[in-house]
Amino acid sequence: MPCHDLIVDGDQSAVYVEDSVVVLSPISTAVLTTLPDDAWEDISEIVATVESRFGNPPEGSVFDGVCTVIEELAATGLVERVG
Amino acid sequence: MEPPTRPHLRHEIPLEVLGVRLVVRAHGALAYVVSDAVDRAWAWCVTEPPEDGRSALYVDVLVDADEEIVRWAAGRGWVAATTLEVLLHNLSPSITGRAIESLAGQALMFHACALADPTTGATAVMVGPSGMGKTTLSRQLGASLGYVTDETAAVDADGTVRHFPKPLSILGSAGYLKQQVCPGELDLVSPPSSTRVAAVVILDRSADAPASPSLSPVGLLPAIATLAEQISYLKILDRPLQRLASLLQSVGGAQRLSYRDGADLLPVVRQLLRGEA
Repeated sequence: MPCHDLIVDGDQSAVYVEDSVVVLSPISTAVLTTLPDDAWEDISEIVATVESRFGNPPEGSVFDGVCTVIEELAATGLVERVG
Repeated sequence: MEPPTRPHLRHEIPLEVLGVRLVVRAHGALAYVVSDAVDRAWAWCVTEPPEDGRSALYVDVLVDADEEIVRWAAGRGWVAATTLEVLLHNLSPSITGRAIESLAGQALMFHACALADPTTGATAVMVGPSGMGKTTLSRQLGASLGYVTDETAAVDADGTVRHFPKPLSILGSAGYLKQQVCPGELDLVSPPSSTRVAAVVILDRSADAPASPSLSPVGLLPAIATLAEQISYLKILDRPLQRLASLLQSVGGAQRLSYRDGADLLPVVRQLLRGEA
């Protein structure tokens, strides 16, 4: 993960990736802080964590929401997705 | 190898910039003219010669009408120009660059102007990109408050703001080239010996801003994201975001200062320095 630093404030966070600082939403923060360092995590575990913390969304599924967040995090280089 | 057709003269001006010892070495036939001009413009940064020359950084400068010699000097990494005005114009960013490079990994170095209460040393670090009016603000506020810098505010882990009272770049009557003017010639107030950060301000100048300047608190994370873009060598610091957050928390968070004209800001900045904002 090319992250120079991460700081959590309340349910949000800021990450310093490459040359810029990005403020993450509460769900993105939950996903990111759920992931173990330098190890893979099954997406079902992440979905369970997010569901227990935020409940079900008014529209769509938690799984779809988590997938979207992971894609966004992967686009910044913060996480890698396989499978 | 020195330029073959010029007598080799050299004169040195020792400076202290952001706490970094740095020596400007003027070379060539005009060395004394150049060193005199550097000495006058950078008078507030001039210090005693280093006792141990090895501990100082050197910036070599040359003015020569011969463009071939200027190219030769530039090829050696010197700051070189065919006129004194151009040399002084180019010297300022070169000195700043050398000093902040030397401090990388030690201090939070904001692209900011900084003004201090002359008595207490409480200092407002006012952050903004180029064009936000930092030099103009420094002139306006520095007539009453201690002028710490109009360019780079370096803050140590203990909150100390390092002095960088460089010459101010002011557009001259000739037009395109800014003149480098010593703060003393502009009757600015010198900073007290010890300056500590009391406020971190994000400058937001706009012609559409309300007539009266206003301060508004900025949340920790948005402040970090905004300020990070205006800090040199941030990623070199250990835990850079934690360091920035710690500084912001020590001053009660960052404030956004929306204003139209810097001439109206003195009461607001005094309020900040008293911790009343």
